[in-house]
Amino acid sequence: MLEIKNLTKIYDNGFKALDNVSFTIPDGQFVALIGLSGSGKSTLLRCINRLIEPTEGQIIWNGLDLTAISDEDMRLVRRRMGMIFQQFNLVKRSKVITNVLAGRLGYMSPMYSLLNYFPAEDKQDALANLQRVGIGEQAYKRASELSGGQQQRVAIARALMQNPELMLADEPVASLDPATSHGVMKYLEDLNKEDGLSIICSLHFLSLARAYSDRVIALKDGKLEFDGPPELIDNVRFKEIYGEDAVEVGIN
Amino acid sequence: MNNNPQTGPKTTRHALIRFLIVVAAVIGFVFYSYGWTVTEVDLDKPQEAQRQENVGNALRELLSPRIFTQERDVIEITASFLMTCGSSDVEIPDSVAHESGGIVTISPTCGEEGDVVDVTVSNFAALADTRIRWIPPEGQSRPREDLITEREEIVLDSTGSFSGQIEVPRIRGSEGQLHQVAIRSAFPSGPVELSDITQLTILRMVETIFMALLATSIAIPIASLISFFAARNLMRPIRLTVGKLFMAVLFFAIGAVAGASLLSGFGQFAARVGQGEEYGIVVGIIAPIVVVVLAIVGLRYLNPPTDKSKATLADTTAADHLRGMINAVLLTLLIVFAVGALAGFFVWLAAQLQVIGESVRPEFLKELGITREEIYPLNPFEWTQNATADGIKAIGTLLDIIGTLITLIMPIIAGVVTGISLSNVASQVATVPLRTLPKTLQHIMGSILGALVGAILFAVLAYLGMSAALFGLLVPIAAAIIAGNILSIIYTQMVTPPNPPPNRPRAHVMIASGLFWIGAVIAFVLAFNTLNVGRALVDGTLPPTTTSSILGVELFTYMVTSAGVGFVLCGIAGALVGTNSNFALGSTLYNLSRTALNTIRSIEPLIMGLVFVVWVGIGPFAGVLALTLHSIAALGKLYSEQVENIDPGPVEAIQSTGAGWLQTVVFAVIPQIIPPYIAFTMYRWDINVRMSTIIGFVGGGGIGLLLQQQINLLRYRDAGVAVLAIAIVVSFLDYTSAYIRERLT
Repeated sequence: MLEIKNLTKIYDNGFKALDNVSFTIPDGQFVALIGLSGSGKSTLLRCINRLIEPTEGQIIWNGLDLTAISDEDMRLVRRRMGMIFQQFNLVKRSKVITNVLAGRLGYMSPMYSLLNYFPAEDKQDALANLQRVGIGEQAYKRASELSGGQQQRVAIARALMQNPELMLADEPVASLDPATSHGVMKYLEDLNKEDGLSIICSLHFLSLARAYSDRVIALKDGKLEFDGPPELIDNVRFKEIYGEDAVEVGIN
Repeated sequence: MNNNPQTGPKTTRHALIRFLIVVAAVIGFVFYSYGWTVTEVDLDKPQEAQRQENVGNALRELLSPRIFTQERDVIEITASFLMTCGSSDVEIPDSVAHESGGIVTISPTCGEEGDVVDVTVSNFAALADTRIRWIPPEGQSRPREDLITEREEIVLDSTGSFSGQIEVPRIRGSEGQLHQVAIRSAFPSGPVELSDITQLTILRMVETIFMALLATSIAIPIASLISFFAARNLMRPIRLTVGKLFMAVLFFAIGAVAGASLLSGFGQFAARVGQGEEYGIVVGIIAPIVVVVLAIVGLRYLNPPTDKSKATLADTTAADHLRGMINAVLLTLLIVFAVGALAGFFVWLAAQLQVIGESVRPEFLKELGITREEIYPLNPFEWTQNATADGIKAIGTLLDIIGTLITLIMPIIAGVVTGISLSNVASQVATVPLRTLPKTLQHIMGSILGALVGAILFAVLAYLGMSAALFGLLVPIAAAIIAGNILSIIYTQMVTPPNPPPNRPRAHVMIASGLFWIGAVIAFVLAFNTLNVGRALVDGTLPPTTTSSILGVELFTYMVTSAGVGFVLCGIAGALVGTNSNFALGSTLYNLSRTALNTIRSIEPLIMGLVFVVWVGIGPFAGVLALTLHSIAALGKLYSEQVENIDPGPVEAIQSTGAGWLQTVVFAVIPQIIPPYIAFTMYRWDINVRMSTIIGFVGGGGIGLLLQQQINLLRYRDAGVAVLAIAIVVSFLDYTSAYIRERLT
């Protein structure tokens, strides 16, 4: 269970990206995070695994206050939180399999990773995870040779190597075309339904949120604007979240 | 009446600003103009005829490099000339023929000073370089220039003829005597060959290119390592608690001293084993391999590659600590032994290679004792043999240098390795106890540890300060920084500003920084006076080397005093912040390495070359050292900028998997920086070749030395060869490195 309590983040330049945000996510929920660009979605996701240090508030995960633990402990906590990104963030010059194996680094003794050594079972896992996201045969190509959708699937395989309980997805389909977007979202849905992972996924398209999520959390100027099932977002709510001039466009 | 009340003041303000801009522009122009006076720009000098002629000659010779030579046959034919007609009754022939067939005719054959004499030359070798000289009865001969072409050299036409006019020189008291008009013609015979200076230039150019290669290659690993510390994006996230930092520094110091004194003997022993001096060379080869294999097995057993059972939090147990300690001991001994044995083995191998290399050399060369520099006609087979011998011996020499160097710095290696191991173990063991310490004890512990660390740090700085007057400033500067921080921390803790740093009211920030400067200045002055740094700065004398005894150990009083300053200041600072506050270690390392890189980079290699020439003598070695030091700083900066320019996405992604700092660097940073590193290394080599061409001017060897010698001897045609060689090599490298960089980036 993930509990966010009064989370606030003020950047060094004084910009208040998150303003007193609180909510609770029970295990196994698929949460869509929506809001305009700059509304604090990315900051919120990065505060959860403390890639960004929150200014105030608490993040309590499985009973542990993540804002109070040391950097070294946080590193160990991060192993159970997968994260995927809008720009996929693969190491483009490395092979696909190396990118996937990097998901195991948190579990490895640093001495071995200096020598680029991974146990045979990890390599098997890596290949199995690549199979699972449908690109098993691309394992020994350079990551840069893959298409956008394939790269995002490599990123999912990398996150899966961590054996995560929670998946943070920061605009995972914003750089992809509609057909590929659905492909990637289906893999996330699959992880949620079959493996029981909690997923927090920030999205631009409300139609995607409606199609895949159990619950929608909307941010506006760093404040929590809406929290509830996607069906409840009608035209009025939509205008509250996105502003008066916004018109909903679909992705099908 | 003014309709718009704002117009008045606004216009005034605009006018004022415009006026100020004009004033600033005038001041700026005056300032700029002064530059032309300071730099003594003078348009008269370049117009002086003598200077114009000199520069013309120098340039002409520089641009006529003596690349080739050809053997020449010289013919000199002299025709007599009687000064003052009728003053003697000697018969003077009109023309003189030479056995080679050349004929010289002068007319008239007698005359006065200042007369013009026609000189005709025929039947000489075509296009030969010819000069006319006037030889008085007694005294020096002198060149005469042709009045028509106004040149001393005369090039004969294709039929080997020439005619011109010369003036009879003014030579006193030579009336009635015979003078000679000498025509000296040199014409090429035999094949065109590379001149001596060209051959020398090629040798020196090879030397120069190798100097640059060596300097670059030595600089690469060192600069790569430093570049990570000088990259802001990598260093900024590195923080650790003050307690852990103090423990790490304290135990590094203890480990370094212990390692250097106890383990360097062990390292020397390993070197002797590797060299086969202890138990024979068979053991020398086998023992290091066995030891390394055993240690790797042991380490592998102690440290399984993955640790899945580990709980979410880093709850270290006594077993973990034990494991950590055994790890540290094993690794320390392993590294020291392996490095030592390898060094010893290198020295042994080097000796073998020298013998093997010499045995390959052709017999007759061995008997003659001929060296590489001398040119001796060899057939292709002998040449191959000789080159193989040189190659094998060169590898031997390299291995010997590496082996000997490692043996020499064994105390440093042992000290650093032991220090790192010990500080790792200590800070690991101390992590949990320090974190769970009650608040009051945190500050007391902070004070004790801080005082100890401060004493060590300041003693080290004082030791540096005893070597040169300028380094004496290190202690006062360190004292100033710490004291300044103490005052601003006290203020921040007492007042507790309402907001976190970015939004803190400006007044608070200003008071805090004001207090910083007050504390800094006071501490600087106090430390400066206490340690008498001023005397060293004024007189250039170093601090007195009197010693005083502390706990039975003799130490320099100067260091003890300085350690006392550090003890007090860091004790106070430690007490204020406590062991649990965070210290931005990364930013500190970043600032230190950037400062060091910038300082070294600002010293030109020519100046470094001067120092190294004093140390290792005139020659390419001094040049290599100077270029290496400068390359480390320059490459370190270029590399670190590349690290700062990487795509932060993969770094973020790897961090989010729970990878540690080192793992993030290996998996997310290094793959991204390899192409730019190669590109900048090429660029640096290119620069180093250019620099090594001039480092010879201060005695650094290479082609610069040759160039300087030729210029000093005013042999501009020979200097021209060196200049041409530099231009060719530099532009070739320039294009090559640009091409490679383009392909890579």
